[in-house]
Amino acid sequence: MLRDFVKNIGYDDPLEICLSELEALLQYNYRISKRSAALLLLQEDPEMFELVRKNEAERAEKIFSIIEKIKPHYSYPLAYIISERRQREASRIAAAVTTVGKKGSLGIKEALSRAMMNPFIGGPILLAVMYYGLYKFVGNFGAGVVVDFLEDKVFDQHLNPVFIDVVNRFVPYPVLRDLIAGDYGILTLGFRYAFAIVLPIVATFFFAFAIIEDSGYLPRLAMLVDQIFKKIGLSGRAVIPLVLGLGCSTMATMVTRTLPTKRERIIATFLLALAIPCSAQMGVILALLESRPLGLIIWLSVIVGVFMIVGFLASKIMPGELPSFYMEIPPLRFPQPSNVLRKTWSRMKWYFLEVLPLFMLASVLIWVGKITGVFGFLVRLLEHPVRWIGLPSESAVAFLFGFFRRDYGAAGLYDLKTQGLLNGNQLVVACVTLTLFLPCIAQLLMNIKERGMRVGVAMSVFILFFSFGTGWLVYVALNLLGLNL
Amino acid sequence: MRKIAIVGSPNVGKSVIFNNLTGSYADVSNYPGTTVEVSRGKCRIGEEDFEVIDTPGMYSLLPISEEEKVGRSILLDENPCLLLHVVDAKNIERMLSMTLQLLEAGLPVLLVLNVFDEAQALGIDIDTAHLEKELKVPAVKTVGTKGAGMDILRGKIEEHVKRFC
Amino acid sequence: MVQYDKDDKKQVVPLSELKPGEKGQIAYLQAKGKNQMQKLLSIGVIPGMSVLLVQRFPSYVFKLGHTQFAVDKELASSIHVKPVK
Repeated sequence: MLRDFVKNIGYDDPLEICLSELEALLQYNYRISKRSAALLLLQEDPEMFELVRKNEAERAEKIFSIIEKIKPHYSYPLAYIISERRQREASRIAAAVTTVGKKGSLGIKEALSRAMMNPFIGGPILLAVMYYGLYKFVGNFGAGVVVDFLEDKVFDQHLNPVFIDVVNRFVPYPVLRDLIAGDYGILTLGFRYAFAIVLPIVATFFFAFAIIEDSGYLPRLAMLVDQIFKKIGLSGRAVIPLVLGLGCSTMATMVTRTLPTKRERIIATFLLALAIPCSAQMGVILALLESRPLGLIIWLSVIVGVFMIVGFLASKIMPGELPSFYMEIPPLRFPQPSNVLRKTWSRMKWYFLEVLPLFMLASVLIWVGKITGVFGFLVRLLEHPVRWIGLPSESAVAFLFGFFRRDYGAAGLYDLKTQGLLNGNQLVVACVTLTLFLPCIAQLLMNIKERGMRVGVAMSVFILFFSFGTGWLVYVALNLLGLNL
Repeated sequence: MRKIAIVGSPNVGKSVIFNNLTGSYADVSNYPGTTVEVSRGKCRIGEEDFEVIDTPGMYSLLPISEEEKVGRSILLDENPCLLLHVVDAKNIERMLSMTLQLLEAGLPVLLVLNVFDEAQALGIDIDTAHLEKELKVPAVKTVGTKGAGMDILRGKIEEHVKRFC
Repeated sequence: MVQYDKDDKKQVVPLSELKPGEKGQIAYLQAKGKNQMQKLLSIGVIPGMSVLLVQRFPSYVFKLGHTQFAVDKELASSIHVKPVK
């Protein structure tokens, strides 16, 4: 709907003449005033050109020639001339309606903001945020305290016996009993993984992330890392999807839309799929390596190394525009508790609706696979690469789970560890391989949706080989160095 | 149902205004570019139900990024009966440029001077009546996160709809 | 033709050459491509506006009105300003 009253800004004479010529020629309904359509054309808006070509028939040529004729009158692009004139009008109005009184104080916030953007103070601040936000809160509290409580107290002691008991009493067929409450049953495995292991980790991550997000820290981080990210073909802006990827890579892949070039979007999607562990997975990994700090450091260095090296190579191979970086740095704001809670909740809901059905589906598929023998076949197939990287055959099951969700696979390893089947070296190799391993089904689908079938599938195939290859290298390196973690 | 679209540059609180009007929840963060998907909600103003559309941020009517293209196509294709142009009150000088673009385009604009508390903290005051006279469109001061000014905003939306839609 | 006279141009320097804390008035833009120019214009980097350079490393941060923007060296050097004392 257009208003009958149109506020016009007067441009200089040659432009005005040109505008009135264009307005007379434009016949199609652009849903904006003809003057505005003409201005967009002068500013070389590609979509507008397309519309004119399609809808103005023989007038199109005339329109384009008018535009070409006016350009040489100015030594700057017309977009520049038009923006300048418009800004002068905006500045005039702004000056007329605003009064600036005594300045209040934003002193402390400004000082903190400068500190966050200072490379020498910003680095330690980042480490502190990572240590307390991720390691302490998500790792120790979410993946440790809460998971232990839900796993040991709620499920093992109370819920699972009840499930098994009820199913045994009311379900007459053993095959169906297996589906619901067997080793890989919907309730005993799917439901338990989702609620007891994944939920607490994801919830604590999203909570911590929401606070960091709302404070305005992330754009400052983007500004700090821009030069480093340029080396891997990204700009500082990519830090936001990548950090969000530490929560849920699927969600983060969606957020790569905010990156300005296709090249950056592909590299970011790829790194998210390969080297950024999601919170659920990371939580389980932190729990797996809990008592082995050296193992944790090796795992972290390998993943960071892979991230940088693969990113660097990808940026060399990928054609396209080099990234340029610009970002608004919003003021630091105190996170509002209500918004933090609401956001955590809405993301958890999104995540959970995404995850729970997949977990249950996985249980069903495993059940079907076991009945038909496909499951056993796949496990035996996977046992080979698993043995090459020095892991016990039992862990093949965990990797097969990993196809459904990486965290699901990691949770499978957790079960093995509790049974005492993995030593330190094996744990590190398994964690590295599984971190780099194929993204979960949800992320694979998102990759295909956002980047197309070809790119999505190619990435997955590469990742499959690369993850086992790296796992093997780590295994060999640990042996050569004679390390026993 | 008639439509109201919320537009403006990134990180000026469009989603907060959206949440306030519709009572639903669109992701709100303190960095530009949170809204990557278009959120839609319903809102009752006066006697009428409206569909409210929250758009990804755009700095100008001339799109550069994918999200900005999405934003503009909503303005053009959905034919909203009112655009709420949300701006950061303390940066009115920089933000009015886009308001002027929307007005040149002949689109029905209501100017929302959001995050007004931060402007005040800087000692900035804006004469809304004068601004309305200059631009010939309604303008409202709001602090979305605290809900301040939302009643006046609703009132002005109702008034606009009665007069022009 | 809109041209800035020679004298004017002499005093004009890229934003990347200001020291932190120095102010300037944007004189003209010399961006690499149409997109970069468009990007700068759309965020309000327009001739006539005043900027204050806040920081140079690891990225350039400048203040435009009451908002801070971070840009890389390339964009910072494409903004030419007339230093204001």
